[in-house]
This record gives sequence, C-alpha cells and structure tokens, in this order.
Amino acid sequence: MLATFKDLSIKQHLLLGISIFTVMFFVALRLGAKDVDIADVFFALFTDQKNEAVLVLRDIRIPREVGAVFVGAGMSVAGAIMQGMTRNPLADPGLLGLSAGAYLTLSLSVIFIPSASMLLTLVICFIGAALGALLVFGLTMAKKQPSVFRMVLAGASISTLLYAVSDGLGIYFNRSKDIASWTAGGLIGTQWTQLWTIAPFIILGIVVAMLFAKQLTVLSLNEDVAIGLGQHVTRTKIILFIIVIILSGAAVALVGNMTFLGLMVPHIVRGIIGHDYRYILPFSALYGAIFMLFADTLGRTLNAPFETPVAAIIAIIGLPFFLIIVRRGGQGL
Amino acid sequence: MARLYTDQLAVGYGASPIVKDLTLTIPDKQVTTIIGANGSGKSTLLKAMTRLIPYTSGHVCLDGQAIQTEPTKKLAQKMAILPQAPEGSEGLTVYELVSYGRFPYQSALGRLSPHDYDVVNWALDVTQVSAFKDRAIDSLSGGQRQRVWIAMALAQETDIIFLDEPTTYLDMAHQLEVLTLLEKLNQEEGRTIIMVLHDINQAARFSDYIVALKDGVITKTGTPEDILTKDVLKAVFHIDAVIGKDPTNNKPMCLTYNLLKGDN
Repeated sequence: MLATFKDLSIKQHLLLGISIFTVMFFVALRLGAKDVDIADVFFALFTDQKNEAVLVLRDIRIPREVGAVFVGAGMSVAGAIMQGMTRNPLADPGLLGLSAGAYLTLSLSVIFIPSASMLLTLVICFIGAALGALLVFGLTMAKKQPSVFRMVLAGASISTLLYAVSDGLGIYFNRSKDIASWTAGGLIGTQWTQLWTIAPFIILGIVVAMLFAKQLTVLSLNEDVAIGLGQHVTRTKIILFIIVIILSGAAVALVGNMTFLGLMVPHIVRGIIGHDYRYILPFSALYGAIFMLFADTLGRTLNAPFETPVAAIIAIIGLPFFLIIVRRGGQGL
Repeated sequence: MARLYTDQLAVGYGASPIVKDLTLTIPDKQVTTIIGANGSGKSTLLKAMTRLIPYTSGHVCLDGQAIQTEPTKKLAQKMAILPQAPEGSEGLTVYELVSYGRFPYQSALGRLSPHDYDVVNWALDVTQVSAFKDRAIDSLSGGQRQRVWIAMALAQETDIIFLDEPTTYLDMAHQLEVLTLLEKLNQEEGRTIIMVLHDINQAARFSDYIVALKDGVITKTGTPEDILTKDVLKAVFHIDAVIGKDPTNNKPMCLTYNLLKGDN
C-alpha cells in the first residue's frame, strides 16, 4: 500500500490532494454545531437561493472555513520556508518567536488603537512577526550555522518573554478580555471583510514563494553550495524572510497563535512528495489547508455546541511530531 | 595568459590577515593542489578565489575580469566549487541534487531543457552514480555521496572545478576513487582542477602543479618534484621528511617523517 502510494506521479498526487481537499471542504461545511444538508451546502455555494441553513453557511461557516484554508496554507508554507532557510527541521513560526511577536504588537494595537482597521492590524502583525523573528535570529545567528536546538531554545525563551509582556500589558490596561477574544477564538467569527483584506497577502506570499522554490532548495543544501551555484544568498534570504513574515503575520491576525502547524505539515509533505521545495511548497499549502479544515471541524464538533480551541487540537496532534524529530537529534523525519 | 590568477590578494582584516599579498597564476587545463599545515590559509584562499568569502584587497581575476564585479550566476557557469564535506537537504534524491547543478542556467520557473538532461545524465554516468539516481542522498555511503556532489559540480558544465579537501572522511579506496575520477576529468575533458588536499603524497601523485602555503604566504610553487623536497616540507610543515619515489608511477613521495627538533 505504502509502496504504491509512493509510486504515484506528481500529477496523481496533486489530483489526490485536491480530491481530499474538496471532500474535506464539504465535510467542514456540513458538520458543526448545526449540521446542514449537503444540498444546502450546494445551494449556498452555487445558487442565490435562500433559507436559514444557507444563510448560516454563507455568513458564518463558509467564511470561517475559507479562513481555515488560508491560515492552514499560509502557516504551512511559512513553516516549510523557515525549515529550508534555517536548515532546521524544528523551524515553525510558532516556535521561533514570529507568532509571539505578532501577538505582542496585536495586543498593543488592541490597547492603544482599538479602532484599528483590519489592514492596519495586519501591518501591525507583520511588524510584530518580524520583531519576534529578528530577536530569535539575533540571539542565535552569531554563529554561522546555529544548532537546531539552540534556535528552538532561543525561540521558546523569546516567545515566553513576549507573551508575558503582552499579557502584562493586557492586565495593566485592563484589556485582557479583548485581547483574548481576538487571539483565543481561533476562526470563530471570521468575516468576509477580514478575508478580503488578509487573503490577498497570503495568496501573494504563496505565489512569490513558489517563484523562489528552486532558490529555497538550493539554499537548503548548504550556503557555500548555494553561492557556488550562483545564488545571491543574502538577497534570497531577505525575500524569503519577508514572505515568512507576511504569511505568519497574516495567520496570526486572523486566528491568533498557532504552534506546530507549520512544523508538522511540511514534514508530512516530505514523506509524500520528497525534499524538493518546488513540490514541498505547493503541497504544504494544499495539505496545510486540508489539515486546518480538519482541525477546525473537529473543534466545532467534538463538544458541540461548545467550541474546542483549534490551537489546542493542533498542538495535541503536532506535539508528537516535534518530539519524534527531537528524538532523531533534529535530523528530520 | 592563464584564465585564472590572483594579484596581491589579501583575505581577512587587521594586523594579521589570513592570506597576504598572494599572487598566483593557475595553469589552465591542469590539476593544481594547494597544500599547507592547519591554519595556513589554504582553505581560505580557495574560498576567496570562489567568492565564498570576500577578499579585502588585491584581485582574483577570471578571463580578465575581477570575480567581485562579475555576476555570480555567470561565474557559476565558469567555475564550480565543491565545499568541504557538504551536507544538508539529504532527503533529496541523487537525480534531484545533480539536476540542481543546472541552476546557474535556469530561470525561476524554467524547466530542464534537453541539453540540461543530457548534461545531468552524463554527470551521473561519469561519476558512476546512475545506478542509484533515485535513492535519497542520506541513504548512501560517504564515498558514493562525495561522488554525487562531484556529479552536481560537473553538471554545472564549467571548465574550472574547485574542491576543498574532497577526500576528507573517506576511506583509502574511496579517496583514490575520487582522485582518479578528477584525474580522468582533467585528462579526458581538459577541465582545470584546483583543490586543497591534506595528504602530500596524494597531492604529488595527482597534481601537475602544487602551491605550498604557510601563514597565508606562498612558500613555493612548482611541480611535485619541486615541492616534495626536504627543504620545502621543512619550511611548510615543520617536519623532517624522508623523500623517495613511488615505485608504481615514479612520482616523489614522503616515505616517512619526524618532527623537527629545536626551535627552527
């Protein structure tokens, strides 16, 4: 079974992935606190017919699941890029300080600019993600090739600090509840207007990432090899860094912190499709979207009508991946 | 006029740069080996000549142009570099990795052309790694892996190939395998090979031209016969060497050696 699965061509894998995605998308729309007919799902998507179920779908569930698709794809591509750039299989926006940085600036914006537009919030998250990443890399990049674990330790300590400062500010200014409702809610209350602001950035990020996929593979080999092959290493790194900031900042702006998603999905994808980033990136986007749809559906149905936080579900599924990679001495799966 | 030379090259800042005022001409279509003790600057010289590290003054010139002013991609079509013990992204298959040797010729979304495929397949054949082209790099032995990296450098289709200690971590048979492959590439394809080697007997056996380096300065350059002498080895490695001849090929070799006594 596994052998035949491995023998599939890239096109067959793509077809399989898109099929799984389509099924998962419909399942995600059908299931929830209120199950709806598959017919209503079709009505909501493809007609302008109206009934109660269709309205629920159009205003609440479809934007929510579209959000899941973009967050899942964006975070997973960001994780894959980070793993290639740093040659660290444990790299993940949540683990290396990007999410925490975005959370801090997001908290500041909730406190000081409560009326901030979605676009402004997004830019604020980009700045925060960049800040978090620069702090972590600043701590570790003194060495040319910092060890896998040194980087993760720096990420963990910087993240803890940034979260503590954010929470401290929330308590001091008595705005903890507002901050929590933004970040702990996952995809709850995702609106079309938010998506119209955030999705273009994620699409842009993924498209530009695809243009740099070959560069990323070369960079992931070894820096000296990359220079020898004629790559502008610094320029490539800066562009990839900006893509990572945009993708993970956008994800945090939409759902708050989400650790392990960007770690786990690229590793699963490598097992399916190999180690060339020309394939890792698009398949990470695809399977990241599928995985996020799955996790959010689980979150809505496990204990309906109450929500189970999707970040917790992802952490529970993702942690074993982290531990397996650590056990292998940071050598990847 | 040789294609590649350095002119008063200096690498490293401060009072004691790693490479100092180094003027060296690399003979075309020959095998040149840089030898020297640990910290002599041999690896640094190789890296500076291949733009892996910047140099502080002087020039490295290829085809009459300083390499610092030449577009890096264009340079990658003229010279390939195999760094010391390369590793990373070991999950790639042999074929995928060697295909990336065509990177300097490709655009962002470009696919491999028929000529690219020909070059990649030739590189796989000549290094004898075709048999496992679909296997992951990390499933190979050290010797196979090194041949794969050389195949990647060959796929770059350059006249000049640099190698930084290509025999490190290999056992004796695999060391010889790599060196005879390079010799063959030089003799049959006319490639210019420039490498750093630790083993002076290997340097003598496989090189046309040897550069002996000490403290970032050239002690002597010349044929193996010029370099493998008691005096040069004393100056470069601080050893008292006994020089003989390799009975199989008549090249000079260091039969044995002792540490020098005293403070010279």
